[in-house]
Amino acid sequence: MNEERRTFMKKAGLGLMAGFGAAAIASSPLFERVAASAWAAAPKRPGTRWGMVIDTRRCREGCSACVDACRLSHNVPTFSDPRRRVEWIHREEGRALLGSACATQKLLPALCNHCEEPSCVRSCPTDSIFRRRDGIVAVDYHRCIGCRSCMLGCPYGEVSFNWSDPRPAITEPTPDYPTRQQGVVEKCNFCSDRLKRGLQPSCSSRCPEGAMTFGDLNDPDSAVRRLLASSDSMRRKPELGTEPKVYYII
Amino acid sequence: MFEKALKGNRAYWIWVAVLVLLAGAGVHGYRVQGAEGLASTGMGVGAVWGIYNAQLPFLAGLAASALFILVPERLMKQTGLSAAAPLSAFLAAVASAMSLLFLAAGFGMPSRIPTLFVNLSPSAPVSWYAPALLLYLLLSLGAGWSLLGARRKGTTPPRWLRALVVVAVPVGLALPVIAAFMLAVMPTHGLWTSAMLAPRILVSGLAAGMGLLLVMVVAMRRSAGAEEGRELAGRLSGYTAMAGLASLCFVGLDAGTAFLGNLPSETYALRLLYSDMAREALPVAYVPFAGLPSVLLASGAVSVLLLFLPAVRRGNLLPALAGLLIAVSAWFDRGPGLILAGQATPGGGEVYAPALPDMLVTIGIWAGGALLLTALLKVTLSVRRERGMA
Amino acid sequence: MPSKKILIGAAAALMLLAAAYLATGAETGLVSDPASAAAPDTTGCIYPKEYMHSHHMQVLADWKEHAAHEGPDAVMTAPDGRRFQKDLATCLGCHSDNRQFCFSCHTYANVKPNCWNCHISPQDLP
Repeated sequence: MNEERRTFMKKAGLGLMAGFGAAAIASSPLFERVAASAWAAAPKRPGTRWGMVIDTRRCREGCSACVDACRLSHNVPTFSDPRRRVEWIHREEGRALLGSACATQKLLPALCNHCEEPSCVRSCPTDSIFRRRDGIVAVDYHRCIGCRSCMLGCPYGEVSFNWSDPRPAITEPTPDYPTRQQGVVEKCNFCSDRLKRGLQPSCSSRCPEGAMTFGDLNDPDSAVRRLLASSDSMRRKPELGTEPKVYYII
Repeated sequence: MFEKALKGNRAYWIWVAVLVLLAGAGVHGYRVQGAEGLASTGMGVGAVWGIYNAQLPFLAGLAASALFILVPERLMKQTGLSAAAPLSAFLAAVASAMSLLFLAAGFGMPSRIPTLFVNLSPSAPVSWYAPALLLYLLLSLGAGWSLLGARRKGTTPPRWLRALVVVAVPVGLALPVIAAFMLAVMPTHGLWTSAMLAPRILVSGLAAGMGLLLVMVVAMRRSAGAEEGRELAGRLSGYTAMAGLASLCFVGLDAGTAFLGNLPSETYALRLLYSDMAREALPVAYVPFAGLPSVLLASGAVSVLLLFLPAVRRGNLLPALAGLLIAVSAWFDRGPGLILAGQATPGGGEVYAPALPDMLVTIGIWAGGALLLTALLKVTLSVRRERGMA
Repeated sequence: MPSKKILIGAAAALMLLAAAYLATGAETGLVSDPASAAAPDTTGCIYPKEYMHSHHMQVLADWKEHAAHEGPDAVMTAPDGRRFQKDLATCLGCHSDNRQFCFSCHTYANVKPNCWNCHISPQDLP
């Protein structure tokens, strides 16, 4: 084997390796692709883990049934000033919601992710926002002191604050659910009040296209797990390690 | 001993009256805020924390700075610092009291303040803040008061004061750490998730604390006519200069990391502070102040340089002025500059600017702090004069 | 006395260690078996009438705490073995028939509880 040939092979080998390396880097996903097995292989905690899968392919343009249902069933106030807005679920453009890997221009529903490792909980001085045994991140409105640390702690901006008295701003009051008062935060509670009565959350049950599926992520036979097994899904800002429990199928 | 704060000349009472008036304006602002909710302030979605929380990191550092006088004076027998010890303890007490007030001012439900102490959640750093502040307030006030009492009687300070200072060390050092960690749990704010945050709060608080002590020592020397403060002022100038230099180095290190690493959140916040970007982001009324951060940073840097010149340090008024400028610069750097710019995100909506109620409350709390400090200084001064005559 | 200094130093170090341990997210709270959700039992009062007269505030404070933090797991077992879901709905399941149930006493005693700042008062219902 002559010298020239040796160097050529060396270079070719290096080139090949570099090529593979680049391919590995290029193919590493921009976003975390979460299969159902990812959750099942490493269940964070035992017991019920409520989660939601939103099939954005079914999400209809211009439809706001989930947002309206939520606003109605939880006495969420409607403030006209965007700086005072209070919302438990809202619609946001797919790209802003899920990053550049999501190409859709459609408005997609966004709500509290009920993270398995919630940063809002670590920023609450009074343990008013906490992770319940069933994985729901809930707010104790009796205890919230209104310091708004959780709003800054939440990477998704899903906690709202009552900058003024919410009662006059509730357009259609529902007697079935309390309101909140001036000076406390509020956010989606995965309809824990309805779950207690054996009902599905308002948003998913009112979706005309059945795009929102709710269920126990720890139960391998649940609808959410079957859906996650059938398609690739995304979560919001997975790189932060908060382990959101709301999944999006693109 | 406190009755000494109730005797003073005309200038003293005019100064007190002005402070009381400003504090009253703060009370009025707070009543407006209580009635209309936080909607009456400049805060809102996109600017969740305003000028109240913006004071907290700086005040935490300022409170901790007293340890750097009390520990050498009480535990290491550095008697040259004795004249500054009660002053620094009182400064720490005032900073802790103001921190508690600023913390309370920002709550949406102030009636629930007891839950801060009843429902502590240990894994949330911010949970430790109010108890630590309250404990440190008691410790520093006790230290200052017993030092003063001993001086009045001409005895040596009690032995338990040494134990008190030992307890105050972990509590005081915890303040900047808690102030930093309560921001570190907020993952999307680049300016807040730096490991440099706690040391930066401590060091800039140290620079500000030493600078303010320098101002107090010089002022008391002028009004008390005591010549003993000359050597002390020299030492304090040195401490201020060193802490100021360290603080400037830290500013550079953080900025260097941000721009070399091209970290989007950090560089955005720094550009907002130190470039023309603020001009577009701020509400119209605040545009003339867009250059304020740069001016304050530069004035702090120049003051640090000046304090390194022996000719300046020997002076009387110039070191005090430099100390004051360093304190103001440190206040902006670890106060509004950190909190307000840190929570601004590209496309995150309007940049915060205070409305009338939060402005009034902030001025009111500062006036209240100044009032408390004035009274404590008056007592210190009277005790010293008494001893001088005896 | 050096031993005293060592003691003080050890105490300070211990405090710091404890603070560090707690601050790094020590999980508190017990984990017990999930209690089965209890259906509201409407056969009788949860406590004797006299006890509720004098202690309903404490009972309500306890219920609201547990209902908010434990959700479906917040179940109360009465001394006679009946189980109640801790929830305002359980109370109102029986006590909503009289609109004046809370108010007649509170008005007489001039007590102004802040429950109705958020919860919908029976008097506000159509």
